[in-house]
Amino acid sequence: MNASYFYWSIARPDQTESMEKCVRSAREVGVFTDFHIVTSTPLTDCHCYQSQATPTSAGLEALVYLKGGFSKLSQSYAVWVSPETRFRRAPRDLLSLLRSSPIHVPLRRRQDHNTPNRTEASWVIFETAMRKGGVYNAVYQCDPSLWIVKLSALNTLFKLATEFSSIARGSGSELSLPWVLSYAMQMLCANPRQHCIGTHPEVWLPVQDAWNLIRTPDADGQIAIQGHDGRSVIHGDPALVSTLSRAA
Amino acid sequence: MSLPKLFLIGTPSKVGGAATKIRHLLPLLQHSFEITVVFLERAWFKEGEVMGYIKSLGLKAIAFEDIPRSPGSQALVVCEPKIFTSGAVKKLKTKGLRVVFSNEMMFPFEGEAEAVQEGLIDKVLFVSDFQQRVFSQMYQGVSQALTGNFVDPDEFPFKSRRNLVFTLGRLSRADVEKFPLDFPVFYEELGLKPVRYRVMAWNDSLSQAFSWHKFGPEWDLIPARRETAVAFLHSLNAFVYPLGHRVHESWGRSTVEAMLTGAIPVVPTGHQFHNLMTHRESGYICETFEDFRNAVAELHDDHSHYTRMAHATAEHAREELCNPRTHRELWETALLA
Repeated sequence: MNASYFYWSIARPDQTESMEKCVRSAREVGVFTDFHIVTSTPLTDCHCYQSQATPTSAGLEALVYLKGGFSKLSQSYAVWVSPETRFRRAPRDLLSLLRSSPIHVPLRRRQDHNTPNRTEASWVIFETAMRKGGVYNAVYQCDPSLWIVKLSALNTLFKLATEFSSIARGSGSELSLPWVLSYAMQMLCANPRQHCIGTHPEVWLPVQDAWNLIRTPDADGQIAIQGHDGRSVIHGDPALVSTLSRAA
Repeated sequence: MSLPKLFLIGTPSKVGGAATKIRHLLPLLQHSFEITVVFLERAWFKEGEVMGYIKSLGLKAIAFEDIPRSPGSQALVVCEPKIFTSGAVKKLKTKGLRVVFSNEMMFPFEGEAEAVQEGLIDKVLFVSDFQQRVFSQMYQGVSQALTGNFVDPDEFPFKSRRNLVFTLGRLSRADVEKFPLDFPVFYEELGLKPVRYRVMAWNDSLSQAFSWHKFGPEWDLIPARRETAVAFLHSLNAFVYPLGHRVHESWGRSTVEAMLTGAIPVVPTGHQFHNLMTHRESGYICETFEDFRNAVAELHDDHSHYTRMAHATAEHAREELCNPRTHRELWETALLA
């Protein structure tokens, strides 16, 4: 896929060091794509934008920055990378993750019950909201450490975000960016399995710690990076890795 | 013996589910009723195709204002929202007519509920029990009948397909709400190769809604009426019909038309398609995307299975869904009881 994209992120004050490390890792492996970062502290080697408000734990302000600001950039795609991301080499075909969908958010199967991050009750609320919103396939969570959106589909993304916000609020639940992205992804991809973590282990994998990678033999006995989707181990040789984040 | 009089308010044109329904009802009922077609708008008198069709059946058309006083006769109103907003429904009552209304949609029209409360509707007809349930509260206490939908099978003859490339597509009005938000992705993720996708009707609103997608040469996006419905359906091997997540299909007229021609329907669960087909015998009713993908793969990969099913689908539609005698009896009972 021959199209242009930029990387972007939001770095909270406690994440500025990670963000700088992320950008540095990209430059060290020859990635010279623009990074656009919303931050309260200037960072080297990227375009920085003063954050307009304190980032919230829900993270929904990311969509506002995207629509209000970054959508004006000339590139066709926006690639979010969490500050806890590390580039191991230049990704060869990052946009192939999209397939023919206008968005890619890495999906993951439901985690085991009562994990520290997600309780059974909140899963039920989430699943119910997804069903009300029209998701008819199996419901997936997501890991939004890396997600891509085609900027010409931003209106569709926002329409879905608004619709899901209304449904979630009606269910009495607190809304979060991972929930919204998980919903939008599943409404815009037809086949969620094609967007699951591990489908392209040569491009990106979530890992326990991006800066202290674990290498173990894969099924073929080759030494590979040990990724983790919160449920199971995935081996690969990814261009990018992100420290496993909280699931939707 | 003179036939009971029936004033059919609506337009028998070739575009739109309700108009097509009226078009097919006229020949079905013309030997049971003395039918007069009634236009709410005079502009229809200038439509040569519509007027020619009415004339070819030996029927006459009049303007709404020219309905004579006819105590005890029936006025059948099919999906005409203006009947309420214009106050025309009251005028029907003043002419002594018994008003029978068929909504066709899954939502009430403006003024419909008020008309029910005022007792202006004597009988309501539904196309499916699915639709009837949606309106159950509004029409509580009003005489009701389930008439389904009649598609004249002779208008949609079976055709053996000889497509060089397996073709799937859909026929519906060009309404964004009718399409799932991931529509082009949905077709492409089915994973058929080589394949051709055909969609009618397409318009600027749909182009805008899916402007993020790059439609390749395998796509034919066809404006309304560029082809006749039957010619379009004859070009399809499978009628793959995912729907928008806010849409409830009241019946599925285009699905039945497709079935008659031998285009095998692959449809979602959750509407009332189960009344139209038997899963894996006369079509596929799919719960998940995997079901859709498996269904089209089966049709694509196994030609003898595909051929057998195409015949079975058309036969089922012709005998079970579109049998003129059954439908005539249903309508006579509904209108005369």
